[in-house]
Amino acid sequence: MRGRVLSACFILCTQFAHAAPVQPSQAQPNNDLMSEDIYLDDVPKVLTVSRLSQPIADAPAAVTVIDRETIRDSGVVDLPDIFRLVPGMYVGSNGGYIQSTNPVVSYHGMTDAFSRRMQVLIDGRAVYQPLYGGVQWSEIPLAINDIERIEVTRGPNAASYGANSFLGVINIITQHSSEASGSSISLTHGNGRNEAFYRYGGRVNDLSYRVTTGYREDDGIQNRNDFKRTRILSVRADYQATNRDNLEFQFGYTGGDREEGNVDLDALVFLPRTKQLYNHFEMVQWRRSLANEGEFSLQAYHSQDRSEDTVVSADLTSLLPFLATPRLKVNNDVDSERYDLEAQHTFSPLKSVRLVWGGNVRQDRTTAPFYLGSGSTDYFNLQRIFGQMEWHPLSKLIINTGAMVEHNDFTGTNISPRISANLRITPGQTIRLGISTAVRTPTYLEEKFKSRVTIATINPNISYLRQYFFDDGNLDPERIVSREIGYLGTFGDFNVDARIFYDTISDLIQQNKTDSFVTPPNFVRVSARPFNYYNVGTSDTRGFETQVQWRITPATRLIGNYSHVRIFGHEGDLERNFLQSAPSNTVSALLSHKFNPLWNGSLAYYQTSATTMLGDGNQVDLARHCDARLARRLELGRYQGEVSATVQNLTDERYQEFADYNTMRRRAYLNVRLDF
Amino acid sequence: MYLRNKSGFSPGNASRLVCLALLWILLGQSLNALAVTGVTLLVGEPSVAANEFIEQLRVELAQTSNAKLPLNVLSLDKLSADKLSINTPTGDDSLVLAVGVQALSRASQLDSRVPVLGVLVPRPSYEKILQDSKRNPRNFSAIVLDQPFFRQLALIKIILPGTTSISALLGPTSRDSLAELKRAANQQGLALQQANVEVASQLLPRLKQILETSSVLLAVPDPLVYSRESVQPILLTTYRYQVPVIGFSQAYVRAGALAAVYSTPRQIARQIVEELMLFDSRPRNGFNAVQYPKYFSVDVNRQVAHSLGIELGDENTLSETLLRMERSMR
Repeated sequence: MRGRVLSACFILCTQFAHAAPVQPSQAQPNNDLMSEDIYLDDVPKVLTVSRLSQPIADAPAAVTVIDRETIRDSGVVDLPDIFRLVPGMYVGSNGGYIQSTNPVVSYHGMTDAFSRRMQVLIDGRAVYQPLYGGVQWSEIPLAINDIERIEVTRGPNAASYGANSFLGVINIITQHSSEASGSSISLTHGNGRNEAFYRYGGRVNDLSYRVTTGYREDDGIQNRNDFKRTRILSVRADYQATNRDNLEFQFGYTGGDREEGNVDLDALVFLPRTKQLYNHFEMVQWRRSLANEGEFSLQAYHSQDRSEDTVVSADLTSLLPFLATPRLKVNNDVDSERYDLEAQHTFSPLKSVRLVWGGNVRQDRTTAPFYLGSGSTDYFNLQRIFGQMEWHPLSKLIINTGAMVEHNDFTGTNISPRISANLRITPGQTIRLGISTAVRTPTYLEEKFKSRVTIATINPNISYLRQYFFDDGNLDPERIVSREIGYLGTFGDFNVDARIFYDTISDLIQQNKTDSFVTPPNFVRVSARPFNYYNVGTSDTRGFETQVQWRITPATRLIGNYSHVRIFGHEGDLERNFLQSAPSNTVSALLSHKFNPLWNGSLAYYQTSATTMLGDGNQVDLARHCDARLARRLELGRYQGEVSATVQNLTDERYQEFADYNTMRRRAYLNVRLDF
Repeated sequence: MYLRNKSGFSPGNASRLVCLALLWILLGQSLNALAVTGVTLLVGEPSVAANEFIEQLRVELAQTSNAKLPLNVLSLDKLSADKLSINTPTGDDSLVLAVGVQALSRASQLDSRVPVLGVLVPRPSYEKILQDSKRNPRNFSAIVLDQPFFRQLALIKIILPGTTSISALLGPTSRDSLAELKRAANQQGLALQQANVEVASQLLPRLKQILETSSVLLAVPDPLVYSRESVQPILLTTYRYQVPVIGFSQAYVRAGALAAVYSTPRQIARQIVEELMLFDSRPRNGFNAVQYPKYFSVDVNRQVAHSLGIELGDENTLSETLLRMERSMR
């Protein structure tokens, strides 16, 4: 394919020579002459509105940008680990119970197994799952090497990122396909983890594409049943239809095996077993550049996450008399589909004003017989319109304001407005004042779970019933009002971002035992009262956080983060643990250095104070660990690449993450990457 | 904006142009103010840029003391090689203006006594044609599309005042200007980092290598490095490294380069008319050596600047500052 690019260039620079018949008598054919076209012809617009990121000093909220350099230097092997470098964010590995052998990522506490108060987008596609609200990180069809950058908005920003952009937003942007040319192989071998990825990028005229395939096996945490075997296929193609029209196509597939179930959590029904995954998505986006820095985009995607999980219980005859069969079988298959269509229009009606507005419709179709207590498919519809304005009334002042109006099947119509002012006090220093609101729609777990198992007895008219959840539904959405004062300073190669925040969350949704459950006739209940979810009250989250980036020398860079967060009960009957669910102090730092053009290395430090996690989690003590990475660039003829060694938890601290059963140990990985 | 709309330019338009030119000749009576008694415009494949140039040439000529200089427009695609040699003047009192590389290449095959001035041609192409045709630069010269390096570097110093070093990615064609670029950078106290690209597959690896330590990338025209196909990966990659690009055309700025200094066909037409006057004043001395554009414009991409956190003045102020700097340097 590179041959084709070459020949395309060749044709381009020789087309004039071919256009006129060249005299045979001519001694020198002039086909190596550069045509004037490259000076005079129009070329496609590349850095369009949607490709350009807003400077952090102009953004309406606190933003942490993680670029490829940081991802590489951090040595992360598992994507969620990168979020340890975001101030206020908690990341914990978890070999949990059902649907929770998955890393936990949360911002400002309220941490349970399913990060359900954060929005996660990949190239504008929402990947949080409707069932539990979280993200199954290892099931995303995404190779770390395909990531262009990650923008983490710290705080709510519904007006920009839509529903559930509640405590924070993780926005992952993948590389444009034209940036991947040729082949690239990456092999990783290490403690409990092996990975092989192959990527090919090519171009045919105005169409560029990349295909990434990979296989990963991950043993997970020691002594936990959380083995993961994952096959990944990810395809992206970008077609430059005209100088102002771009079409982008994406397809991704993840399949594999997940081990789940731990006897310390459930020794009777959800025993250790392996389930199968079949996830895929398809996305198409059309972007047109308009005059006056405008753009129109239309995006449609479909995704399907399907898992097959047949649960066979332990022999229950010693516990329950008169059983029809000694072992119970539960169909725990889950099939979630999402259809989403979004249109967005950006334009500048005045030189000092930029407007973005648009609309979005979505349907989630969920089939989960065990969780929903029925084999039929449940439909969740969502429509929203949004608008936001960036206004520069003075050269030193930026007002960002916007709102989103959302209507959905669970909570009806809600509106989330936002306003902020960024004042540039000196050329390198900005103060930001902002108020932002968002709502969080309850997840299926909170609104519609009716999970139960029925156990047949020898009397066909009577069954045992174990009811896990019995949601009443009709919950109000959680609402957040976030107020902040931020400061951004740039002093040469030193950048600092600091803010104090005061967030109020009302109509907090919490889990409790329900009294309203009535055992149906012909059933004998063999469990305690089932769980239900309630709007229980209001809490305040207050604190301070800062991030520092310092390029000490051109070859040395330091990133430092600190956050202090406290949650206070404000009203209502909040769980006691809830108030301890945010680590009061979090520290992370990454020091990277380029020794010479061949060698580079980095050191990372992470510390989280004692925290009580919610849901399946429990209290974990102060955790700290250090990671180190050493890499050497390779240059073997036409092969270029890198070989690197990463050691996580260098000093082998035996600390816990998320729950007392997840004990972390030292791990080392070796990675070789070759591009050719 | 130089939208080249090949399909939209019908042969009918071209012939209309030729007719107009003939009409011009018929109307032309007095031929005494300029030593040049006629100009034959040799035009390659029709293009928006060439049309703009011709149009402006007429306007500019009309404002000179000799408003009735005959202008004979010959389109290459209408003529065979033999016809070309018959129809073009060979006397000392007329010259050929070759518009574009293709036309200049064909003009180099004319009788070597015919003075030829190339316009809308890249400098490397002019030099190659000159070398291959073994013609004398005194009567085979050009006003090239390239901007002098000192002008581009001065622009960098104006919009990015703290810059101490620049980077350039050179290909087989632009490699020849390395020495000149180095000299110009030296003169302005800028260090130059440069990488060479031999084949297209090296483009991105070399670019990434050089961007690791770059603060600004100067795009030096080269068909292998800066093609329609490569504009996307180059601008995306430089943006990822947050390195601004100084382009060589307005289109490149629109695509995503931070800024460019360039000359429009109209500006070149203005310079050509001045050159014709000079040719008149020194009829036996011939042309000046190859010339850079005298008139130029500056264009900036404000969105890109904003995103990179760079504050820019307006385009007019920038080009005026640039002009002042150039005058003070001389």
